[in-house]
Formats: sequence, structure tokens, C-alpha cells
Amino acid sequence: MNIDFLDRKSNVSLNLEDLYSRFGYWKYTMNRFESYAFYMENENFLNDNRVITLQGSSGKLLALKPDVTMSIVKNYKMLGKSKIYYNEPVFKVPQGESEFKEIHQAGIEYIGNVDVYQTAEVLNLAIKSLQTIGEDYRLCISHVGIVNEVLESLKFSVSEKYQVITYLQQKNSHDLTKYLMELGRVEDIKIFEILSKVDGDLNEGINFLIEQNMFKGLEFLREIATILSEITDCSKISLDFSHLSTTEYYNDLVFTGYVKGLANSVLSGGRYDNLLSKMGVRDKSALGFAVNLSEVSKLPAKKVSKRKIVRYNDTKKPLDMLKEANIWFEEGESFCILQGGSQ
Amino acid sequence: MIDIALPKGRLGEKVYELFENMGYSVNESLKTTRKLVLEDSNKEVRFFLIKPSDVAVYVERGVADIGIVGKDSLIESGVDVYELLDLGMGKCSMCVCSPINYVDDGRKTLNIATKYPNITRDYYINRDIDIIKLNGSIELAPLLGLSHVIVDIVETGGTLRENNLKVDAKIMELSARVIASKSRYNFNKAAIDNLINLMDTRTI
Repeated sequence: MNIDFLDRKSNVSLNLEDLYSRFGYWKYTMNRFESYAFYMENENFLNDNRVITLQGSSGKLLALKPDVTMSIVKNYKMLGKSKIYYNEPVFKVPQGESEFKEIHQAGIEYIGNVDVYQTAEVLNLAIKSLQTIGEDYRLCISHVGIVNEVLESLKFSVSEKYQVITYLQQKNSHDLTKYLMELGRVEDIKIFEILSKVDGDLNEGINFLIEQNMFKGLEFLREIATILSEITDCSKISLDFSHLSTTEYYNDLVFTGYVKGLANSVLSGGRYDNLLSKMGVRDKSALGFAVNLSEVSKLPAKKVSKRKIVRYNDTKKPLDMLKEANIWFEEGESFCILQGGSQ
Repeated sequence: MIDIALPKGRLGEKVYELFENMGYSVNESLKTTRKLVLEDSNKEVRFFLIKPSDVAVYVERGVADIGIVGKDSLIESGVDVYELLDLGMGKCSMCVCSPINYVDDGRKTLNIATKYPNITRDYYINRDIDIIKLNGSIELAPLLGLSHVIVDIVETGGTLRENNLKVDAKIMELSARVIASKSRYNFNKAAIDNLINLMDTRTI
């Protein structure tokens, strides 16, 4: 079926469902209202803990779709599937804004044994998702686990960790250096300079970090990078430690996707074993991403192929006109039949 | 092409001087021109002249690749951008100031006049305060009894002294920063990094 008549967001949405479904992911449909208490127990995993609530008939407070991934993890055992995709609106206050917005997201979750293949497949689908949205894209890969391990080993307090991560997110090495000096941690400046220096080619970045002999978990990342180099244009993929999260959501590999022409990231994801463990799924790991379809609608509309306009008058029998219309439809044409004028 | 958001006024003129020293030219005087978009096509750079407090928004929204902004505007606006370089220009401090005879005993709600409500709220996070948002001549507020103290930028301290005000606390040091759009940086990384390195060597 030709879907060129759809607007850009709907077109991308349908193509993403086709992509995820053909790669073996099962569609998950979220309940509109879920227990508010569930989200408050796990608020450390939400970027923003503001949630739209309303009272259910039993008196319990209910939350209006704040996060799809948390809902999937909560229902994971009941679903009995390791590969799940969704196409859902969520209601949250976007970063830097003060009002709730309906944000349309499509994404995938893999819950199971996250090995090299499953990780490469999820990244492959992330890249294909970006290609579906726009020709020129960038996927920035980062690793929360490496940064957290450095912060843990150097025994930073919770507030210091938050401040260091904020400076890394801003690529603000001048203030980070000043901050570490104020803390009397001059000897720790070097390791963060190394992390800040990694900002570009994926393979070069991983090799540079391995050479430093200071970080763990890089062999797995190198295997993934080698696979990606074979299947896609790696000039559009970078390793960049500014893509970090201050929430407890992610614990390992994280990634962010941009499409040229959009000011905000359009895709974000990563590995979230912490969330899984908090919800009692301790023998599995999880990896997924979400595409912000509401951002996609900010891209200029693609040109839609013109439909032909056909006009009929009293001399044309309605039956003949409709028969003709059905023939055009079967031939795959687009048309609009209107009253008046000559044919 | 790199699109650069420059703040109108003294800071923008100083930064543009830096670009001129680096060999960039738009064949116009920034002080007299009425144009808002100026281009150096040889160096593939375009300058947008923007109200200082709006520069960060233009960059965050991806209209410009990079921008030059005071750290005060940057923190107050809370924008999600990269902060790539401290230019070291326009150095000053964000301070709490009050009349010479005023002593804050910490027991009553503190009335604070400021242009920077977000910075003030963060600084007094555990204190009961009443923020009075003003847009200019902040020093007048405690003199006329509108507020107990002010939170404002202090450069030389001359205005404070002339109006019998004193600095009670320094909240943070400020200077001009080069910021970049998170999205556009990823598509124009090499050119932006080259420009930042060049600016860095000129500001040392």
C-alpha cells in the first residue's frame, strides 16, 4: 500500500511499526490509567516526577500514562515476550518547559539475556529508525557504567556525582576542572579530561580508552563497534560521554539520536538493568529505546503526490462514474471526484 | 557555514573584535549597523545580532550553531546546550547586596529584588524568601524599602558604593561563555571545534 498520503509523523509511525514487527517484536498496548503509587515508588527512574493524576472509582489515585517502559517492565512476566514494541502517547512535562504535553513515542524493549547479538540488533534498529525519519542523522553512543564506576572508585558524594555528570553533559570541561580543583581533587582531573576527549569516531574512541588501561567493559563495546562498522555508515555514529543521565534509569550503554533539522534529540535509549532489578526481575537484563514522534512532526512535510481531480455533470451516470472510480482505485491511483464542469 | 548568535551591545562588540583579530570580517561596523544578520562568505560564518538574554534560546532551539552568552543569562534561562569555552571576557560576580546598615538575622522572610529569580531561588533553597522580579535599576529597591536585599551582578562595585550598598555574599563568578546547540554540534562538529580551538588560543 502506498502511504505517501499520510503526514510525516504518521508515515514514520507506520514504517517504524513495520520495522519492529518484522524484526520479531510484539506490540504492547498500555492501559490509559495505571496505579499512581507504582510510579511514585519508582520516581527515581523518571526524568521528572510530575504525573497527571485522577481518582479512580475505588478512591485510588491513578496516573495517566507517564512512562511506557516502566509499564512494560511491570507487566513483563505476564506478557511472556522478550521482544516488545509500542506506539503510544505519554503525558509529561518536557525538559525546560512548565506544562504537561502529550508526547507520541514509538520504541522497542528487549528483556532477557542482553548479549552481543541482541545489543547490535537494538542499535541496528535505532539506526534504521533514524534513517526512516531523515537521511542525515547522528547516533551518539555513551556508557553510563564507565562514568559511574569512575565516580564510585573516586568516592564522590551523591551531590558531587550529580555536579560532575552535569558538567560532562554540557561538555563544560573548564568549569569541571575548576570544580575539581575547589574540591581539592587535582589528581582526578586527568581521568575526566580523558573522558571528555572521547568525542567522535566510535572505533577510535574505544581504542583510545582501551589504550588508557583505566576503564572496564570496553571489549563488549568493541565487539559491537566492529559489527556496526560492517553493517552501517560509522561516520554517522560517535562515542561521546556527554550523553549521560542523572537518573537511576540507565546503568550501562546509552545512546541518543539526532536528525538534521530538529533542535532536540529524536531517539534515546540504553540498557536499564537497575529498573528491572528494582521491579523484581533479577535474572534478566534489558535494553531499549524510544523515538519521539512528536519531534518528527516538526520536520517540513514531504511533498505528497498529486491526486487527479475528476468532475462529472448530469450526462454522466452515477453508476458509470463509480465503476470508473473503482478501476482507478484498483490501479493504485489517487483521485477526487467532484460535481460540476466538464469531465 | 557556521551560524553564530552574538549578543548586541558591549560584549557582542568585544567578541566581534576577537573574530576580526582571527581574520573574520563582515565589512560593517557592529556599533552602527542596523542589520541583524551579517555574513563573512569567505570564512563561511554568519553572525546574528540578538538581545543578550535571548542568545541562549536561539542556540537551544537550533537556529544558531553556537552563541556567546553571559554565564548569568545561561544559568537563569536553564537551557539545554553545550558550554564549550569560557572566553574570560566580561568577568564579574553574582552577589547578594544590601544597604550598609542592614543586617539579615535570618529569622524573617527575606524580600529580594532581582533580575535573576531562578538563580536566587537556587541559592536560597532552604530559606523562606519573597522574590520581587525587576528589570533594571535593582540597586534602588532596598534604598526605597521595596526589598531587604538584592541579588545582582557586581562588576567594580562603584554603583554599590555610590548608593551606600555593600556586598553580603558572592554567589558565583561570571564571564562570557561559548555555547552550542546539542543537535547542530553533531552535524557541524569539525568546523565548530576548529573555531572554538582558534578562539581558545586567542583568549589565553
